[in-house]
Amino acid sequence: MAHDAHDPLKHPEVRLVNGRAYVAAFVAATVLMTAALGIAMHPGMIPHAMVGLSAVAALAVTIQILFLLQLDFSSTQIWTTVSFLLAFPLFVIAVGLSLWMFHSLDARTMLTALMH
Amino acid sequence: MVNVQGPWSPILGRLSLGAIPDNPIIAGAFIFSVVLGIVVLGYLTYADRWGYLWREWLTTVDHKKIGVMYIIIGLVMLFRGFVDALMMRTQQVLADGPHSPGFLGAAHGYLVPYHFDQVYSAHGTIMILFAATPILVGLMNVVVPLQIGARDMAFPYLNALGLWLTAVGAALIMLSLFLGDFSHAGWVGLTPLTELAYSPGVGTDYWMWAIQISSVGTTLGAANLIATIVKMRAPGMTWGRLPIFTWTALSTNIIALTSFPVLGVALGLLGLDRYFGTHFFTAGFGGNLMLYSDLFWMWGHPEVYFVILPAFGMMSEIIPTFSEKPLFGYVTMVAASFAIAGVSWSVWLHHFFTMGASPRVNTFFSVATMVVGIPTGVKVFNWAFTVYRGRSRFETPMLWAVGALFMLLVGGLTGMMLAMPPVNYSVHNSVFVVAHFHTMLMVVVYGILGAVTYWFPKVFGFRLNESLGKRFFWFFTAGTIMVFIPMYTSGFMGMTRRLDYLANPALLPFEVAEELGIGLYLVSIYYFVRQLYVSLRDRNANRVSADAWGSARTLEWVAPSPVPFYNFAVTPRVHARDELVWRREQGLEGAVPAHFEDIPMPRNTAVPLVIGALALGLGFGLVWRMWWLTDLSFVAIILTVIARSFVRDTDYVVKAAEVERIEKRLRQGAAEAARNGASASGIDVLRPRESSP
Repeated sequence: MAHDAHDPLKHPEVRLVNGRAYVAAFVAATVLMTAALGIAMHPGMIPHAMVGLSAVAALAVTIQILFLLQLDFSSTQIWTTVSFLLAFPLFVIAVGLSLWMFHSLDARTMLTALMH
Repeated sequence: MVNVQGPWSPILGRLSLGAIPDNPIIAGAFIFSVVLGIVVLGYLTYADRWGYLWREWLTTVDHKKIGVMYIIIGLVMLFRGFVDALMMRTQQVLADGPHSPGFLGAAHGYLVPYHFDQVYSAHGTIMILFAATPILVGLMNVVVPLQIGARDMAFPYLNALGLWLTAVGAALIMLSLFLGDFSHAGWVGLTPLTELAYSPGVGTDYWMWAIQISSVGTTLGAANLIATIVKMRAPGMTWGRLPIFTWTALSTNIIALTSFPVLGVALGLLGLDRYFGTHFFTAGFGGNLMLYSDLFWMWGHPEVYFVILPAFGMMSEIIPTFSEKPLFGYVTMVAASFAIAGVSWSVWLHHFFTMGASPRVNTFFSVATMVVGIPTGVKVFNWAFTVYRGRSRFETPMLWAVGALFMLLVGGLTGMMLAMPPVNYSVHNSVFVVAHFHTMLMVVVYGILGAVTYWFPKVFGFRLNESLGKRFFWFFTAGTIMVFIPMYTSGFMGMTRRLDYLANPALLPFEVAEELGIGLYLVSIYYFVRQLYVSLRDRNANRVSADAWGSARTLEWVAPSPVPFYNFAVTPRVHARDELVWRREQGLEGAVPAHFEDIPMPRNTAVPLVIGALALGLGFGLVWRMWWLTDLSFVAIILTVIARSFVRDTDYVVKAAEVERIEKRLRQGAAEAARNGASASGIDVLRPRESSP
């Protein structure tokens, strides 16, 4: 039963609340977003701008997963973590297959050129 | 913000008296709705039922009542969608050839193209998202907790919230009928037609926000059902013993949870285009309208399996019960459900084979689509082997289940044809495709109608009338055949879809046949309504005990019929896959608990209803661009959610003595029902609860 007489504040997922981790995640996200903005505004700043942007994005996602969502393999979080990991194949399928289609679609339909 | 055409005022936004349509058909619908509304409200006032309605239904968090309300919304919208279908058929039968007459300002037929386009857009949107989806979610809501031995869903409050958000979507669509207009860009939202430049009115906004708001409800519901199945199973209900309907509910909600956010993003980007002037899907300025089709169907195809998988689950429950045999191939059935759910994510491009993707891309998606046939074939053979050498009884639910099987064969085989890009190129956008996906959706409708008949006695304690149910089935089936076989044929002859005027008079015989089919559907609806009325009137003669069909197999049939609000007096211990069969064999059927315990239950709350009302304000404000209403509703929603988080008193306890008293009354009622088929009192789910919620 989800609904019992227990104190909701003692629920293990509620106990994960951690002010310091939230602040750390917020500060890190702000710094990384500023860095990303900088790279986007001045692409010549680093050698491979797209790689740099992707790396910053990946770092931001990792920090949010670890500090904000606190995903790990403890008994409280294992289902959430596994669900998160299982979403990856879907992400690869959805984005990958779309990219594959659009890769040749533009050349075949010539619509993109018309739309500009 | 984008400046829109026409007048705008800070108070009323784009709303003015001109928004009220002056069409006689809509006026008729309006009068019908008003009269019906007055009758319902008058009855509630006259019978002094407002308090009852508020306490027992509007503020409830009981999964069965929420499920029933989902199903009622779905049935009402099913009727509305049917009326749209009737209008389309009538237009096509009237507007045939250059000499066909025109009425009500139309050149041919009685609907002008702009109105006809709205009718088919509304039909598709309503049938998929506001009829099939709510009814399925409702059935899962009712049945899943009972099948796994839980007292309620994992998050009862969230469950009610999902219901009211769905209701808001339905309400917005109904409002669009009388205030403004509806989208004319098809239920899929054909880009760039949905862009502000081509659809400057409010129709597209109604369509967009109705779907967006209700899909939030569906996503929340999906998370809730998954959590319920994973975490709330009774002791002994191992994964290997989980009833097959619950398995399909799990697979279908995984699809919902992963795919609905894609729809949210697609519609969100369209909203940015329409409200902020961005160019995600515009035909120019760097927009890519093909990206919309890609995103929409990335949700759209999983949605197809979201509606079909529960129907498969319903068939898998009904067929063994009425064959009096265990389901053949339980493990393969579960594997097939998950295989279908998995493959559902890599077939979406077959909805636009003709868009111009390379042959390799089309081939990949063609093969992936055909792969779906393998697990589906496994299911069909499993059902066939379940019936084989069983003691088949063709009561109404079984008729629907077997009917669904035939629909699946026709729809599935034509689906295989459409999965081949060369075939697809010749019949794309023809009514052949329309007939195909309607046959597939008929699997869902047949499954739903079978399931409603099958589980109705579990919730209400009495069976629906058999002979009227069978008439309903046969007229419905005759209608299906009469509508869709001519549609397949005319599609093969080259008739394209969404036509308000048919230039080729040779198609007239097919249109006449389809119109006759719609007439048969109309007769079937009459029998359905009569079935409900007669069954309700004669309920005391048709009361049932816990096992309503005498050969039911799964755990939900262990609980009394009608199920009390706490479901099981004592949390059941599960011993076998077909728990009731196991208990029957052990002589434990009807066993009574030795002692009762206090049951903690979630307390009623009006908060989900309040959030729903505010979401309606938000949606309405966004459609008409009344920013004060939008801002106010949005802030109020957030404040309500925050305020609710401070409420600590969300549960109450039903005392053991109370449970014992209710159980005793239910057992007496069941015993009397078994003895003389009469005199047991009331419908439990409809009568006021004995303990205060």
